[in-house]
Amino acid sequence: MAKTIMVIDDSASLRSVVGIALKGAGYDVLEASDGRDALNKLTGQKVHLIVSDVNMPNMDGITFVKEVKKLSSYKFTPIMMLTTESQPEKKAAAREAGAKAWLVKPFQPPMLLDAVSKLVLP
Amino acid sequence: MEGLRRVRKRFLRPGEHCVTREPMMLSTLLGSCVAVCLFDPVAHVSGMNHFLLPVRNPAAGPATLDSNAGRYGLWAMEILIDNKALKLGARRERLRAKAFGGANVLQVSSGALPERYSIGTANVQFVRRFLEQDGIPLVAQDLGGLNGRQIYFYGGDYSVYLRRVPRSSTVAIIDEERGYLRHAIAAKQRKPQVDFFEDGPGSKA
Repeated sequence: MAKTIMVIDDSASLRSVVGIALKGAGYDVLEASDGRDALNKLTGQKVHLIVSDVNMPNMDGITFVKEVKKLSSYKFTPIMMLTTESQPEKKAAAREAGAKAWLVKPFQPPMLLDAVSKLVLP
Repeated sequence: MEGLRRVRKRFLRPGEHCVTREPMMLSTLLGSCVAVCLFDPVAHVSGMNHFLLPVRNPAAGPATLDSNAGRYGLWAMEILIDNKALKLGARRERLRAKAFGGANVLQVSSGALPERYSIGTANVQFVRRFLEQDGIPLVAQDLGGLNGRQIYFYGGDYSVYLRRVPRSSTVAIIDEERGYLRHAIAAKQRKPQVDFFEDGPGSKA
């Protein structure tokens, strides 16, 4: 059974591109447009990895990580940040919040998929 | 007109962008490149980028968003929107865009034209597709064609003044901007690193 990866980004174009790469590698993809939308969509189904943008409206990526860590069903779900953001403080905040990895755009699919394969839950 | 003389001005070179809450006058010179003027009229945030997709083989068809060129374009737009405009208080649902540029040296009628002749078309296709997919209304545009353009975007009222560049000068602009971008694109496309925050299933990359 395919593993499910949630992709969170406020850009539909970016979600689409990341989704193409992940689906091409055999993953199921669940999309959300920001942190709040993602929390609303985490309704009990198994998610093996979350790939999240940082700068988003309604709820940014770092706040989202903090919120997910409060959810008993998802607190062990690995989260990778995929962002144009390069500020060291943001990266440190993501790490502090509990994110597992940080990848700066523009990404190359092989690198994304390699990181995903290392982080995705069995 | 007297007031405009006191407005801060900035000229954008290929690969550059500027986003501000101050009503600045942003200008640029476009050949094959495209510039997206973005604004949120409620938050009074305005900005512009100037980029060229690194299309390797435009004759092979439009640069899809998930191609290397498309991902570079996505990055250029995200820097403008996510990293700058939204941080200054713009809201994605209020954003409006005006897009310019994407000239070709010759009329594109055949897929077999050399790269420099059709790269403008690839840029135009990318910008239209990106804005449509991201739901950002394209409220004004002057894209494609055979002439380069000089544009001035005023953040005070979001108006654009456009001057067409004669074709003889357009060829020179296109050659210059592509040379200019070679370094910028190479720098931005250097293999990014994944930072893993702890040892475990994914030890340091």
